Amino acid sequence: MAQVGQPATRWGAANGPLQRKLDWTVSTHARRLFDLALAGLAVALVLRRPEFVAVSAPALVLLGARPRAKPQTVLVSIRPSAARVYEGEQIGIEVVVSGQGDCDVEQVLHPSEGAQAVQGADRAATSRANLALEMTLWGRQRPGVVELVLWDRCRVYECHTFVPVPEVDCYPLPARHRSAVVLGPLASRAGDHAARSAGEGAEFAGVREYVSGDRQRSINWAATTRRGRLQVNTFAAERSEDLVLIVDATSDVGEPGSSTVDHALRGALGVARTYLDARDRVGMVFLGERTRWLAPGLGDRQFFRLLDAILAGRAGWSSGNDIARLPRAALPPGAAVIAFSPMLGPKFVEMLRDLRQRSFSVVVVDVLDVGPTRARDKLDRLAERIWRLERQALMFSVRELGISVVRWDGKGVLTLPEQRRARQAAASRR
Amino acid sequence: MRYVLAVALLGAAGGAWAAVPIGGTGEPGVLLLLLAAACIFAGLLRLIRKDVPQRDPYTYLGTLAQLGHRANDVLMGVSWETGAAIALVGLEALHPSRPWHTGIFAVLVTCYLLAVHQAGSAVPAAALRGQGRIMVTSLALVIVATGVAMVPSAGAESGWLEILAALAAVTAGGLALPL
Repeated sequence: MAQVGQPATRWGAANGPLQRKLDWTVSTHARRLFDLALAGLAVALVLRRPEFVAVSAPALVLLGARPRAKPQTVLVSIRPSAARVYEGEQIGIEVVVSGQGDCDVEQVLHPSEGAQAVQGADRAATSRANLALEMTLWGRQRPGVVELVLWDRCRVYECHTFVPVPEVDCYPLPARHRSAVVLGPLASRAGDHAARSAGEGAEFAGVREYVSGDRQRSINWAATTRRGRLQVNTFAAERSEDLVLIVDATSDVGEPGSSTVDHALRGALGVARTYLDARDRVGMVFLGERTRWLAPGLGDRQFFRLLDAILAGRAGWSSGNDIARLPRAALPPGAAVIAFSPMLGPKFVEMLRDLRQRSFSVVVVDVLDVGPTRARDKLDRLAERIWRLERQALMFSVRELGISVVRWDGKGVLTLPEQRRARQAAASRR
Repeated sequence: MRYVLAVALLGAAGGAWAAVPIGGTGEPGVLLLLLAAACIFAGLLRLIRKDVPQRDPYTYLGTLAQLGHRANDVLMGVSWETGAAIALVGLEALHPSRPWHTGIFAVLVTCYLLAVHQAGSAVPAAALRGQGRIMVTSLALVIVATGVAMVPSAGAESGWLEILAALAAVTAGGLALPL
């Protein structure tokens, strides 16, 4: 996560000051004063009450004050403090206005749907303002629009102009997931997972008799004294595994920001982060309008590739594609598969069946955290009952395939099944 | 928030000043006072709620929630302060002629509208420094207009002449001074 939140350098040259034409209009304040002046004069004339001219006098003077030359254009520069952020992080928006003469400037930030204002306005009436907003929805988006309000000296004329904030990449916040559980067979590459074979890892595996060529530092002196012959410690080899994360976006249920797709992506990113930190190769498959995938890779670069792939694919996800059989290129042999899905369609189960037939060990994370709305009448209750029974049947058929199903509501720590259980289950069903 | 408080205090002061002596204006006076109070209150609500983000659109809201939003739209869309100022002017006009009283009333109402503008834009008071000379001039013209009105009437037609004199004084002052 360290690389996210870097200053927005990519707009350095492209995001230069924008010239905005100003259309001056009579201000609301001036209209109120005009109405007061009119009321005072009307009373004075109709009732022949000269003292009511005094009511009109201040308003007439303010309205009649000679305005200085008003600028017809201003230069506006808007610069976000970061180009890439995670959900829930704040961005500072620096607004610099020039060419406004002696007019007062008020900057008001109108956040878009995916953001909310933290510092929504700068009332200092100066040319430079520091606003702030918090990103609430992930996606590549313009987080808001800055409204500039310019006032002349007497506040009789005002001018409103709107300048959009440059695009910001907001990534889904990875779920909390700490343990990198071994889910499938380990590849023959160095990694962080203890393998069953002996090797040069850090995890103690056992004690055996010394043979020529063993290192002296591995001699277990306690065991040697007890047995009367030289004994050496053995260690487990450390290997990495290939992991493919499947994000099911064929159906999206729930409020924006906490829908099943949002949960699935946050969970997938949390798992990806953990396994990439453990030097595993992680790939991702997106099931949506089209099936898209990212081949497994290593390291931080792969993590940011995943993030960019997620942002690129947000638009247009919908059901309707045949996902029953995933392409071979997306799934390296022996890879473990973790699928994030609301489990709302039989097509997804068909895909899982296909994966099991191809001997992949699979774990499903059920991200559905909403149910049908409260039943109002008998028919509603019956429909809800049928839906729950169908879902139970779906879950049963998935478990029958030898697939562990974990429920995750998108809020707590994501915990995958224990290593031994998952591997035994995978082995027994193979 | 202190500008909103200033609006509330100036509105209340203007209403009270225009209403005294209470009961001297009969039922129309009570009606205008109630109208002014309602407008001042609604204007305060508008100022307090101006920074609250509005939900849009209302399509999927219930009937009550939709009504609430419509009421909020009315609250935010109407210039309540104008209504309050006109009602207060009407209330003051129901009283018999009292020039010095009306002069102070004029200052109160103008200050009320300035405070409303200040609270609505929330631009710091320092930014109004450029208007200092204009405000002093306005005050001077209020005194001039009030003074003209206090000159004893000489006949039935003198009311018109006094009005013209007051207007001429205000216009001349406004044109002569380097604002």
